[in-house]
Amino acid sequence: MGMDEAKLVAALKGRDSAAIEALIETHGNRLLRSATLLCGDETNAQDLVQDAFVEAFRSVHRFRGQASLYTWLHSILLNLTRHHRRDSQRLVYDNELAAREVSVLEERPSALDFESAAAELARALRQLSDSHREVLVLRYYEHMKIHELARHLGVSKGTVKSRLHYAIREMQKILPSEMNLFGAGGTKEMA
Amino acid sequence: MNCEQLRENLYDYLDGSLLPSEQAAAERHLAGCLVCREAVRRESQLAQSLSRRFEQAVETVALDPVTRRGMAAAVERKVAGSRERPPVLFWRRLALPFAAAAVMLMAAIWMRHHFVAGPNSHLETARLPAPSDNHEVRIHVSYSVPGYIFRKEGNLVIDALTCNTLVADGALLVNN
Repeated sequence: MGMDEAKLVAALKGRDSAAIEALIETHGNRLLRSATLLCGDETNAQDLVQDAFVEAFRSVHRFRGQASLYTWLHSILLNLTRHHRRDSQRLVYDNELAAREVSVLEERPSALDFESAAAELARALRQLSDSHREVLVLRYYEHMKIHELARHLGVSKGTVKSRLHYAIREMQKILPSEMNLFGAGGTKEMA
Repeated sequence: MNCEQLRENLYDYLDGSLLPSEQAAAERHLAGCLVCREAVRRESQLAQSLSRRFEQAVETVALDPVTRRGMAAAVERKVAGSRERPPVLFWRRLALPFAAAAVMLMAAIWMRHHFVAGPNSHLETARLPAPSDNHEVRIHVSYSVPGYIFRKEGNLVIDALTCNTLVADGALLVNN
């Protein structure tokens, strides 16, 4: 834990209201982006991030500094995201069905512009299972190492590697060929 | 290190998480194995590609200063609100259903006196069946009991609030 982070944690433990603003300013955007990838919706992501900060401020006395402050905040966010997904599972299912019907009608452009590429990625993420989406976002957006992922998700390193393998395979199936994850070097799966 | 071992440790190799001796063994194997070098190249490319796409997908997502200040105020308000609220003890959770049951019981007793046994009641003749020795007053009470369950998955605690509805039926025999 860096000196600035130690000061911030101490201020939070001392119930300093300025520390909340500092915490949100330091980690708010990154958490919001991660939450948006995890839940697929920026509005819900903002609510989840706010709830994560509320929970963090309430339980900051339990923060021991074994992980970084951001990692600790993210574990709270991940827990809240899982709750949120469970609560709104039926709604997400309905939305996905509607999205699939629309995509059948729409003709896909031959070259994907930036916005549609982002939309395709969001659509692909939504179609993945929760555990596959989580492991991809944590690995390739949060840049967590395998042992960090294992600790964060509460599973073994072997499970993390297995989930990554299947998540990537699923993602390749879902994404259009224009969004080849392996660039020009080919898309064939290695044995 | 052989090909199988390298594939098992591929992520750890790229993370730089192997022990120095394992890292050196991996490097030695890679120097002589084209297939494994290709596997490393593909995983590195995938990591770059997905990271870039994730970054692009959310690069415009941000909290503006007004939202940040509003969020800070909301966090402070919610935390202060929860501190002011006294903790709900277990017996207090049961107080409301018991109070509701008591009110229902008193209402039943009052109805029995007023409509069944009450003197000079014109409703008595209108609502009661033909005179007989016994009448039955049925009492139906239902109330909801909140519950809290949780389980631990790794370093996360997943909890849930539940609500169970309990129903009690009873009958009072009224002897005229």
